[in-house]
Amino acid sequence: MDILTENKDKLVTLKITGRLDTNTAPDLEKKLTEILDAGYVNLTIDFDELDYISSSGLRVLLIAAKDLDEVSKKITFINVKDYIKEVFDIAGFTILFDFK
Amino acid sequence: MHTLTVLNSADSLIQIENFILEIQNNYKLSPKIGFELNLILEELITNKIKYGFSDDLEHLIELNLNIENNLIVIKIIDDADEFDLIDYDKNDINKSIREKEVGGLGIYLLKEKTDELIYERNDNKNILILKKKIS
Repeated sequence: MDILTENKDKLVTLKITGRLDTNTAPDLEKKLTEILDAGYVNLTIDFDELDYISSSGLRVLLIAAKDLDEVSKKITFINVKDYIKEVFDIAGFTILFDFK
Repeated sequence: MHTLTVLNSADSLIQIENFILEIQNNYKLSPKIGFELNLILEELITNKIKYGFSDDLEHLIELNLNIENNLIVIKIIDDADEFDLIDYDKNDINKSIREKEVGGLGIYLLKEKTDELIYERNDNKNILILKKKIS
């Protein structure tokens, strides 16, 4: 998994490439913690090149969503593949994020 | 019949990824089915590695996969502690964001993406059969 970060006008965009699984989820968790600890609340994640996600990846995103919920913000996901969106639906996580 | 034997270590997930990719290519399965097979096996094996073994020793987990008449059948045999996941369901998707617990989600996803599950405990071994329709 690779994470590309773009920071522009207080908006952080992450582009995740590859697989978000049990082995790689800790890397994303670290990155999200850094971003949220720095006070950024407007966060977009581009899933265009994300091929795979498991519950470990969902958990990391859920933790970030809970933090942002405290300031009434949601992470925005863009370019989500249908079969990946379906996993968010099944998990009941869809309402926690903005899908665009 | 396709067989893969992995150890109860994090490396097994990479072996499973490659195993499923090969099956996906050989049988021309859609990316969605390939993704779901990988998800089912990752959730199962990760759960076994985390909670299934009460010692620190190496254990073998055997996966047998067969595809016939648009049905994928995967048989997983291991000597982990007895665990019947058919009765296991902790995740409650109706809970609000603050109540949501992170545990149990993997098994929940596995069950949602599987059409039939059969579990047996024989000779101190777990035998789990997962069936998934292709279409």
